[in-house]
Amino acid sequence: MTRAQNRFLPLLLFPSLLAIFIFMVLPALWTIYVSFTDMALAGPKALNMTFIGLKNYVRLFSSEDFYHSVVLTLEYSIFTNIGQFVIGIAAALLISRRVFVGKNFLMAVIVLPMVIPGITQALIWSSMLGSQEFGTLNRLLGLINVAPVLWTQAFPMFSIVLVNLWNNSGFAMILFLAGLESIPQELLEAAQMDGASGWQQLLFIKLPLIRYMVLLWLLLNTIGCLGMFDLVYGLTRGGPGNATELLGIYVYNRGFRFYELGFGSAASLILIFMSLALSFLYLRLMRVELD
Amino acid sequence: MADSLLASHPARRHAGDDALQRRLTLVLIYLVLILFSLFILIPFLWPFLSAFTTKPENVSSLYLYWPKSFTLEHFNEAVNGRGQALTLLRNSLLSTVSAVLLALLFASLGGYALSRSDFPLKRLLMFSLLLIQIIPATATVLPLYLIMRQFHMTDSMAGVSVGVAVGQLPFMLWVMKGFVDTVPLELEEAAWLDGATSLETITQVVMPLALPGIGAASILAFNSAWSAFFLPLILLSDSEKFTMPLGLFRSLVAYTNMDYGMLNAMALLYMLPSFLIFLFARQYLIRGTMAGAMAGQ
Amino acid sequence: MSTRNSLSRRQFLSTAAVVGGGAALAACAPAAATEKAAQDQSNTKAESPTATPAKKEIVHLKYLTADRELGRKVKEIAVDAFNAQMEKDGKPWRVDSVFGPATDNDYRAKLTVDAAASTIADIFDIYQTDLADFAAAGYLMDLRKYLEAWPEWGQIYDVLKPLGEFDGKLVGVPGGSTMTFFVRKDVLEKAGISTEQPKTWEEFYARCDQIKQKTDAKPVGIPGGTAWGGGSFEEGFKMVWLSFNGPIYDESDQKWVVSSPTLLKAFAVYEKLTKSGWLTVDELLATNPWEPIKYQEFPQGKCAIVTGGEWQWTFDWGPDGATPIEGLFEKVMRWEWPTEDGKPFTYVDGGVGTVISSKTVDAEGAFEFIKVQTSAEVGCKQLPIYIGGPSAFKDFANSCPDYKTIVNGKMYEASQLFGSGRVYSFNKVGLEKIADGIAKATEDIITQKKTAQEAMDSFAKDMIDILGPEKAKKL
Repeated sequence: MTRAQNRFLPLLLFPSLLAIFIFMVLPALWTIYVSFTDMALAGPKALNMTFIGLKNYVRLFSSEDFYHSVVLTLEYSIFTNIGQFVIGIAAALLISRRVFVGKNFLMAVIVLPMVIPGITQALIWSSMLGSQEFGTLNRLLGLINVAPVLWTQAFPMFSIVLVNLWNNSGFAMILFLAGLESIPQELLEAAQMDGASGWQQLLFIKLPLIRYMVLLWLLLNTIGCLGMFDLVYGLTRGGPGNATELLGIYVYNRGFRFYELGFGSAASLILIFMSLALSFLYLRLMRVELD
Repeated sequence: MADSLLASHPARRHAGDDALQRRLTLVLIYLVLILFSLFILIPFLWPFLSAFTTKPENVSSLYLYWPKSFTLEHFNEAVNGRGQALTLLRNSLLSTVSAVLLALLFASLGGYALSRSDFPLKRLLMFSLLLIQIIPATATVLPLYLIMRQFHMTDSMAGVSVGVAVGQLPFMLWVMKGFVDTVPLELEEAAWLDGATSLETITQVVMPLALPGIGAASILAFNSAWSAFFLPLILLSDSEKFTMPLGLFRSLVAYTNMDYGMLNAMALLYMLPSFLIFLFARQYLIRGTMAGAMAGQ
Repeated sequence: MSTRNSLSRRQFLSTAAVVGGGAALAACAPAAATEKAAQDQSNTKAESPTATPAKKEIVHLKYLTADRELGRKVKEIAVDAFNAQMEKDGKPWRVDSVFGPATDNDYRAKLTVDAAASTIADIFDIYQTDLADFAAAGYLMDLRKYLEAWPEWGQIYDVLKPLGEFDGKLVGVPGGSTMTFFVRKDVLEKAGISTEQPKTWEEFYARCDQIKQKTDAKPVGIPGGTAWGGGSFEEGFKMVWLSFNGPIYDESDQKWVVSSPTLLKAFAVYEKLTKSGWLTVDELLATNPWEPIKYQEFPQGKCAIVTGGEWQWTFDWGPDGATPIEGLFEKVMRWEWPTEDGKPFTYVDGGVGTVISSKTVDAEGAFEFIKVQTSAEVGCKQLPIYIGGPSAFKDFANSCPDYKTIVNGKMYEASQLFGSGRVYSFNKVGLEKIADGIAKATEDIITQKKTAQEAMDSFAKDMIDILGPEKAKKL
């Protein structure tokens, strides 16, 4: 009986997969096709688009701006990964299996930015990082006699990473916490009896045991960084110059500012391939972990 | 950090050392706690301040200022005046709730199938679902728009709901699978033996048990659908149908000066559901995120 | 996203073009025009299958504009006037307003997708930098035959007419404003500095030097860098470029000239201003750079010279403006752009604010709307709530006497400048990219990362990369 039912069970997936196919996969296939054309959203090419083979890709790989964006995106991913890891693991370790006044408060506070809509985050941070002596951050630093800094101008990468950490550290914490809570208590107690220090426990017991969670977080966060658009666009528009023109913004600018949809699509395909490559790397590591 | 110190196994240490170290750890914990909290909370100062107070002359409302007086005028403007916040909120609620319901329906069925059945390439499918979200929306917006036009769903709330719902589906499938995984199979088998059909088993045995999970999944979906911006922007033409993020900025341009007071009043109204979720359903949010993560295991 | 949401100057100009462009259709040429219009209508009706023969059937036309508070009020006047008049005249057309996103980039994104998918409104407002690309893509209706048959066309200042032309197509009723320096006369006078028009850049530099020496004001806040967006080109660089009389766009081979001795001279102006410490560099690098420059320092007399057009009299420093300046008309004066040969000029800028889609269900009805929207009657009604620039019509003051005195006569004065002003048609495919590249290049110069020469070299390289060698060249 169970078996008979199981055979038809996958059919329940059908509505979801059909919807995903129509509204996500088809547009993606279309994007692949367009990347081999010089299609434009406006301008002369909007009238007569032609198939140009690999020309868009050739142009991409010889474009300094594109390399610049790729490097920026990787930097952004690495910095946010490091930052989120530090904040997330510290918070998770503090909270996990411990009772202290303010624990719930800490947990709540760190989750708070996760629920704030992206468009309002950009608004809030444009005031925080605001120019000259008026921006909140500069005022705070003014208290300890640090001269005002034009954050988004002088330290654009720092600015967008900072906002990402504010926004997403809660996510890292939740995943790490889930991992930590599932470590058998006896294991830690045994380690303690053997005289393992806190750091030793962290390095040799906890981290190895939550590897899966760390890898999953790394995967999700890296994908998020590679595709990052609204938060950074809202804050810096990719500027100053192209100092924060991450790949997601690069794709948008080519398509919507410069109307070069074909070229933009090619760029987005490279973006997808990069994400895929990284994902497979992580997934391989994860599978090794699982098997 | 030095976790063991608080877990306190005093047997191996001198009592005095232990107390000192414990106190040091506490200080450390609270230091970190305060720093974290400041980092997260300080950015919220400005929107609240400028929404609820009047600013002195000659000061830009984009930055913190010393308020002149408390006022609800910004909210009045936002709700009864030019902000038209009620219409925007209604539209946002309508499209978000219907998107969540749609995504839940599809994802419950799909999640159940993913959890309970084994078929070739299931693992591949699971990870494809995860990876399909990489595709940048800006690259696929034109074909998506053309497809929506085929279904006569441009400039309609239905189109927005469907589009947003489908956007949620991949991750929701993960989350729902994670929750169904936690319902013991034995319970279902018992139901089958009692002669229940598949559908009955799902609706009467699995779903009630996975209800907290469904709650968590809907909170996650709501939160993410609530902030949908690019899709409604492209799909909607009629400003009567605009959702909150689209309408947020329209009223701030009088001549050239921006009225951040009213803008922030609008923004706070927009964030209200987020704050409510945060206050009352935070645990669901956390649980949903965890389930989504666990589902791959 | 808020940081980029304050009105871009371009939007101002385009709206100003619409609003200021009142014509005298109703008041001045009543009988003949209406009769002719009626004739046109019956003629085209016979030819065009879209114009419904059944008299009672109403044709609804959609009019898409950005959803902004003030803009809405202004548009409503035009739409209401149109619908009322159509009803009165027994004509079948009605216009329904559709409001798109309020913010520049979002409105553009929406417009572009709509146009590419052929679902765009019959009539829509458009940014000037997009006009060339939209026209080249065939999204815009060529209104030449309608416009040239329209008696009011003759009343439009000739200097403005090329601003409505793209690729040989005439896409709408052009409007304009004049772009110059705006100078704090009182600050200069108090320090005993001459307020006379500087004729050459050398004279201009000398004045900057004096301002720096003798006052505590920063000499000049001319737009540059990326934070100002398209404004760096539109409100600053392009006039500087033009002042050296060099080739900007070569009509013969349809290429932008992205490297030339005169372009280098233009970049060198920014370099000179920066290195001499005369430019408001920090302010230009801030988010919304016009806020510190135009809404704080200039009104406080802490920056002596800025650039811009007529809208500043109302939107920036007028009584309802961002930062009102008391005694504005005594304290602020205008300087033309200096040149190499000592013949300064006023730049006439503008374009078309409202266009008709090539896919419209009824071109004739849509044009009828353009006529009403630019009529003196509508213009006059809009005048008290919104005036951002001079009227494009020579006889506007005849049918709207208030125009002569409004904003202390500054708008009327500017109309007179149309006669002597200089115009250059930047309406070429790729303008947006050029403007973007200039913003980057000037940023490199004002942050002193690059010299003028280096900045031009990388600008040229970027442009040939982005526009392609078939649209850009070096000289």
